[in-house]
Amino acid sequence: MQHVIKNLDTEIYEGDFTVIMGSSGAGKSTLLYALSGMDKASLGKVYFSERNITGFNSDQLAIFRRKHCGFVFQQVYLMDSMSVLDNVLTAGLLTGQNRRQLNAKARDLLKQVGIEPKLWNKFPNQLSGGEAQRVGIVRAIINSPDMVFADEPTGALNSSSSDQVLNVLTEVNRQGQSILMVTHDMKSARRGNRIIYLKDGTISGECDLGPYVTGDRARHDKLRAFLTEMGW
Amino acid sequence: MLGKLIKANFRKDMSHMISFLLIVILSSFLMQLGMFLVLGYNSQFEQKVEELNSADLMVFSASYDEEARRAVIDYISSLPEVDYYELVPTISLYTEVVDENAETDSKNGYENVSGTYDYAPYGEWGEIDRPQFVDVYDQTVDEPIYMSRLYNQVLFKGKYQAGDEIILKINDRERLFTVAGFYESISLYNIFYIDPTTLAELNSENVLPIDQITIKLVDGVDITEEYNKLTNEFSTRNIGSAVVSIDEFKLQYTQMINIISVFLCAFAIIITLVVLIVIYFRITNSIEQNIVNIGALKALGYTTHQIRTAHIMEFVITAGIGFLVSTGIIYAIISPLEVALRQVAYMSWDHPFDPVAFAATGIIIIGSAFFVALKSTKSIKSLDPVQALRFGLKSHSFRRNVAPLDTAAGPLVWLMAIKSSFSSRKQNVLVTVVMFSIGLSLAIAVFVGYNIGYKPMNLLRLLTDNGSDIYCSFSDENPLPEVADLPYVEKAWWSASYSASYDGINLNVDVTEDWNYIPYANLLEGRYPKFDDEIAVGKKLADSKGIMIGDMIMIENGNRNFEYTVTGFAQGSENYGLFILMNEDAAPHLGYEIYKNGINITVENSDPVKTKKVVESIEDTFGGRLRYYMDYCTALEDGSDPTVILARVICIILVIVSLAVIWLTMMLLIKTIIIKSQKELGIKKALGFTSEQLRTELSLSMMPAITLGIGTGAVVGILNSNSFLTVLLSAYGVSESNMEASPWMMITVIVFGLIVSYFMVYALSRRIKKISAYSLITE
Repeated sequence: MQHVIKNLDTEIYEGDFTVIMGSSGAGKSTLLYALSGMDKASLGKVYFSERNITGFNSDQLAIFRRKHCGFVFQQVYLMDSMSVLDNVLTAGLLTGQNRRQLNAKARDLLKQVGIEPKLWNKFPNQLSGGEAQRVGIVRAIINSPDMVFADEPTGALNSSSSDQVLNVLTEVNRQGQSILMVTHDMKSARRGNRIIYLKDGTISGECDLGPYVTGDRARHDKLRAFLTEMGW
Repeated sequence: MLGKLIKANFRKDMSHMISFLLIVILSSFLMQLGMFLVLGYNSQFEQKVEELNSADLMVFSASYDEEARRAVIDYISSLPEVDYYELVPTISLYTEVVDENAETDSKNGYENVSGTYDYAPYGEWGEIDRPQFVDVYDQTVDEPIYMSRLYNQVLFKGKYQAGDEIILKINDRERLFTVAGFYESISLYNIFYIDPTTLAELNSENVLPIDQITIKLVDGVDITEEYNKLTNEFSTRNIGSAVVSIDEFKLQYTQMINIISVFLCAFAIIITLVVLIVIYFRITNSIEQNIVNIGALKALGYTTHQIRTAHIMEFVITAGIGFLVSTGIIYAIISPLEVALRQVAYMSWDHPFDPVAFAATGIIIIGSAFFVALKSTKSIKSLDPVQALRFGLKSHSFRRNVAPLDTAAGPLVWLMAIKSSFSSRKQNVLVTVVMFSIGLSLAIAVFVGYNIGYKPMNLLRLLTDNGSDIYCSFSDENPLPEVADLPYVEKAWWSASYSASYDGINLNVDVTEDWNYIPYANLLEGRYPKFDDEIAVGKKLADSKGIMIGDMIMIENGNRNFEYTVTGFAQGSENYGLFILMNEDAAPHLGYEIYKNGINITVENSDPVKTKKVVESIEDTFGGRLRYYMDYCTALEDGSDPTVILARVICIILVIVSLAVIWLTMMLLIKTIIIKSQKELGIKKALGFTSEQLRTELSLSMMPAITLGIGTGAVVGILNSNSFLTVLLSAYGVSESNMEASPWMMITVIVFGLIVSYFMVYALSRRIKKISAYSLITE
């Protein structure tokens, strides 16, 4: 058996916007899904807020995810048969939140990410890619999870939509939401304050960029230099 | 090229096709078996008629007066329509079968086989309806006795084997016989053949001779017309004779098989309908799921015709395999089945391969599979490869947001289930139609099971014109007042049966003091007679002769006749529905001497325990004055009656097959749903839904369509169950079945169907457990 991730020991901090980068096949997504309880590691242990989630069965992991994790996928994965608002509320109702408060929160968050009320009752196939991904982000943060796991959230979007999505992620991080994002896009990676570079399943380097500031050229150069050093 | 495509389709759809194959086997099995039995037994009967050279008409002429018997023969020989006839002289002897293990002096008519039976010397038979020996003891015995297979079944419930000993008390003397063999005969099944020397010993001046005259008519002569002519003539001349036609014999031998076959075929049609819907559902879903592949195939140069043919052949081949497997199963089980069916068919059947049943079932099953598959693949025709490769088919528009979560109240899983249940019209139609079929079948099963299997007295009351729980025959002239006063007796009344004729038709005449008193009388229209010039007539008779209520009809009995006014129509199986009912004061017009020693009794609630107590009281009260009694209630309730057994077996089969159809259809459907919804299930798992929540959601989401289907099926089934039974029993003289068909039966079917379906869907959805949220990302 070949291990995708090996000899990896790291901590992801609360409040950070952590970005995992690396070449294709480095194990970025595998690491993200192992940390989030979406996938089970065949060896080693994953502690989430000091709880060892490695031994959880699939239903325990499901309950763990609904309470502690939010997910943003490259392919968005909204449920086609449900309206925008229902997609968001489903995740909230699953944790047993008060329906009225949840409803208000969902509407507020949708407005915050620029999804107008006229779109709330539309179905996912009636949205643009950027709109859909922003709805996906609202769904991920509706339960105020301990961590939002974002897997290439801009991978399927055009440049303008990507910026909108990254702005939303940056904003929610500023409001205190921890984010762990996998990307191979430098423009996206620049939004993070901590960059972890993965090579052949192990961490080959880390870079602390500090908080994101729009138009900070030095930050951009620092990231470029780090990635160059990593052989990206 | 096409072969590869078909193979690829099979590989891809293997698990679905296995479920489909099993449903096809089930429908094909029931359909072919039904046809096989009905065609086989009916042609076997015709073949036996040919082989045994059976009589077209049979006349029983019983008289001590040789002149009178001679007159019957003279009349028959004078008829130009008679081709030839034979006289089988028999003697009628009062016989009791002595069962050494049975209670002595029991008056139970079911336990005691006693009465007058006909004996003839072994070896002395003619060419018409010559007995065909089917099971002969291979050793020589001192006192051999040969009986018909039908008698062994009907009189002795099939308990004798060749070589068994049987003690018969004839003329007050017990004689030990050995059953030397069984024979089959269409019309002469009522004769015990014994050694000529023994027969000579038994014969004396006091023994009633019965001439059994078998008649072959000239080709082209109408048997029914000739039957009526003979009956009428003997009735007019007051000759003690009975005429039976070959049609009545045929009914006796084949009716039960025909009923079984109708059940099998009706159910097979329902399942075939399910099969066709399943084909449509599978193909349309398969096209949706594989739209990109289809586009790729078109792009590679496969023609629409080839792609459609591959889809069609997948189902046609499976249907063909299912049909052949079912044929194999039928021919594998037919031998033991045939032995079991002898209890109701009274004749053996060689069960040779039946090309008609085989071909008809094959054409229906494979042909309909082909036709539906052809229709279902139509959408491939208009599919553009580029469109297919880039966009697929948009099967859902999702324009309606059912149960919006911001306003709808209720648990999340329930709301999600409501949303899911409205998301696929095609799936809902499939489930509704399948469950409609199941509801219909279960409704018939509950109806038949309750009315025949559980409360067999209901059937008896449908088939007879008075429906008593007990019948007693007394030697007293008027035992009624004493019987009526016994504890637990609800009602008691005397009845007597006579014969008469109307317009050439031989009739049963049932007489009692007042028909309006009879609790379970079977009046369909009008009213019972009140005055001495009124009668009610059997509905079958009324229909065959165009008799209306209010008509005045001339009834004849020998040289007496009287014109009665028809007041109503009744039904019953007496004389196959050809009977009239009159009150005591109307009987003298036809010269009947009334005997009131046959007493009918209904017991409170028809309770078998109370019935037994009533019988005990009658035995204690009347002692030797009681000739015999027939406790219908106990005899039917103990489950040994072949009709009751058959009804119970049919119900069990209906329920088992219904459950199998639900299971197989749901298996196929749920596999399809899970494959189709894999992405959505993955998303839900990623969001934190547990497998149990998703399985509950899926099970609940199917409930509206299941409820609609099973509810409609149950209502339609129960409302039409009496009509269905009327068709089945029409040959027995039933014009309108009116057995209990209550709302509780519908509720039972619906509740049972819903509970079973829910748990089946839940159990079958265990595949959801295997879907991981992670597979969504890695797919």
